[in-house]
Amino acid sequence: MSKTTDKALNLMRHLPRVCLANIRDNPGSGKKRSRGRAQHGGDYHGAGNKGSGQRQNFMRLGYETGNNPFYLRFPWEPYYRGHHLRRQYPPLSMLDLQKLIDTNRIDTSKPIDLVAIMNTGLYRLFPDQRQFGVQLTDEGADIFCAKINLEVQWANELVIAAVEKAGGVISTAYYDPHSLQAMVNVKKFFERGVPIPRRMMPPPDAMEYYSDPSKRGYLADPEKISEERLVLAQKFGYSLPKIEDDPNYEMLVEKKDPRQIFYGLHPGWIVNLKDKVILKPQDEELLRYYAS
Amino acid sequence: MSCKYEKEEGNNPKPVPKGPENFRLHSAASNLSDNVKSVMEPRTIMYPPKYQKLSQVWLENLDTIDEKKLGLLELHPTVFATNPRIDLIHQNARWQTLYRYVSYAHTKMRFEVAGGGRKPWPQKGLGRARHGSIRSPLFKGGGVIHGPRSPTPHFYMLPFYTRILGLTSTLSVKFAQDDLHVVENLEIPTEEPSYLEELVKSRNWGPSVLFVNVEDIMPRNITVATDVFKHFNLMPVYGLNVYSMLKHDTLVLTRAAVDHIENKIMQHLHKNDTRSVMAKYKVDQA
Amino acid sequence: MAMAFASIISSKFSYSCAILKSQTKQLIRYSSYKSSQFLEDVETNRKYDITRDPDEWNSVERILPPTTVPEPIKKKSYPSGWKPSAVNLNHMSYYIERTKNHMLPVYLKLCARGTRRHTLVRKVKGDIFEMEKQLLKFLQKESFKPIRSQVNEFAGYIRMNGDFVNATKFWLEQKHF
Repeated sequence: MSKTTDKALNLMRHLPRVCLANIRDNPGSGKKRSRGRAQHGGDYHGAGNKGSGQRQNFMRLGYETGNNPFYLRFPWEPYYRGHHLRRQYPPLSMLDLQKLIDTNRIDTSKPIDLVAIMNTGLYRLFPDQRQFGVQLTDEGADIFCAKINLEVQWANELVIAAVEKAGGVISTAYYDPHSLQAMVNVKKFFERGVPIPRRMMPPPDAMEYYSDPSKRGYLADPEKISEERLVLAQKFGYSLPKIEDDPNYEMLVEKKDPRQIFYGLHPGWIVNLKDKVILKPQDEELLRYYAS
Repeated sequence: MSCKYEKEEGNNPKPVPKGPENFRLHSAASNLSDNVKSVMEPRTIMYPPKYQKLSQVWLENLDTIDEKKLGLLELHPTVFATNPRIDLIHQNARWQTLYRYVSYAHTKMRFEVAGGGRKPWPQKGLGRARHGSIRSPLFKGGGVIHGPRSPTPHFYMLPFYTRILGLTSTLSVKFAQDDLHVVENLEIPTEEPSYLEELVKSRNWGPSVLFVNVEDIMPRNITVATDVFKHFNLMPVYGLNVYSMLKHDTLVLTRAAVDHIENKIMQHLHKNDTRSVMAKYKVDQA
Repeated sequence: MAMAFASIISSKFSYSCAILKSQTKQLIRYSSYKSSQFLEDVETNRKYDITRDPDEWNSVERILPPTTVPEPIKKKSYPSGWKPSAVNLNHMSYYIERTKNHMLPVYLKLCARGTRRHTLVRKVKGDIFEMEKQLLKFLQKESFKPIRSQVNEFAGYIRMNGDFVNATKFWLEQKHF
């Protein structure tokens, strides 16, 4: 036991019974009415008398007292056009990922996707703010040595090389905002009692990325991906570990369907957490919808 | 009211505290003697402390007036022997009284007071001060400025972990002051109120006692026996709160209630997703 | 005459009643939600197959988040630089408890709009003054000025003026906390 806790509890044994009549907050913890300082007893709040000091009407940020302000001198910045509409991918570094694996927050014996990362409670994603998933950044790529089946939304060449050098598999996959909303809080989504949505295809401007074998896109041809794995190994100068001989081969090649959000669960199913049952649609119309 | 000093010290199972100079970190449950081990009741403890001794409490009975010790229970020090934060206890008790309090004190503003539409006397020529209404706040019987307006709710939410630490602090204080007793269950042999009164008196349990059970449907006998006394109260464990614990002199927990409290608090202290409970409280949240 | 008058009244009365009825039925107040119809359950005849297959339920449990923070598994090495606390620290006169996320409770506190930097070491158990002495002795080598520090024995924290977070973490890891 802590020495101080011991002391305090021993003191308690010799004091009268703690009851509603003899408790109080720490002295000085309450809020004082005014600051009570100087000439005016706090009623001027330190702002003084008259002028911009009192009225707080300071010049606006960037105002240059009559000059054409710097921020208005160049009125057109086309490289920012539509930046508020672009897809965002909040970063997660490889060092962070390795730390999550080291502290057992992520189970490497199963494929790792956005759901596994969100379930740690240490990564935040807001699909309603145009955030479209994890970007794995290369900080800590040199120490990364976990053999995993990883699925992220954005990764650069170095990250892909670091994962594959460690004997793992990486793929980049697109999720539409509705699917992401289901993934960020799985428990809350199941409690809503709505069918698992089907995943949408990437928008036209993202199609190229997600069908590029060198980016390990989930829509790329698997044979071309295995070619690209070799090409990348030669470029960075490491020998590619053979995943065919790996004891965890089954886990390493497990992939989601392009329409699927959760491993092992199909779109259209409804999960009932209370009765622990899964409802599967039987209707022809629904089956056709979710299969397409 | 408090009868602390007349209490027999022999009932107290707590070990003699060590002096600060020979303080060393202890491995849990390392130095228990054999005869103590024989009376130890088996209990699984979530997240056992590494270098703290577990607290011990006697398991008592309610089926006879004379106290029988049925065994020793080990308690988690994080819940039952933590820092006695009186400030947090106070904040909890204050919050519990304030969040349901609505002030109905009310004063009228100048437009609500009857009359006063006419200018009382001409602006100029009388040598008197200029006034436009006899209900102005300067007048006796006029409106009140910044007076209390009804209804004024005093609702606010205490942060989640302040509430958790308030519970652990209060339980620790109760335990340290020998006001916490653990019984096997709340079964008593008779529904006579005098039996319970006698029992509480003979065991020096103070005038007011709070009995806490896990289920909210209590045994029949104790329900009937406590019905006539306003100072003996029954409470299910989901209703356990700081205010009630402070209001009663003695807290009597059943063994199952101890397990329930300890597990729930330890789970909250090791919660994976704390954002959901620590988020800002919204009044209209579903 | 009187009869005829009565009949006129009654007919007028019934007429006005009819107007009232028709008005109450057709009364739509677009500014209020109260005049809108209650939502009735839409009848669905979708067929659903209810399954209790344990294999499929396993894949549900696999994606559900854990309620409490999992315990770290013992490994030979931790590439990320994270280190677990030592198995036995009985010889020490003080002890730093890990946080529930298994990290060292050493924090940088910024105040006065980021100009004031304090290092806070929390969850100190045991002889906190002894620990403060040893820690300051270690940190003093890196600083020209004497380091000001504050100890709160009851709350179990040490606060130092200046940013010594990484140095403090390094020192604590050396001591296997």
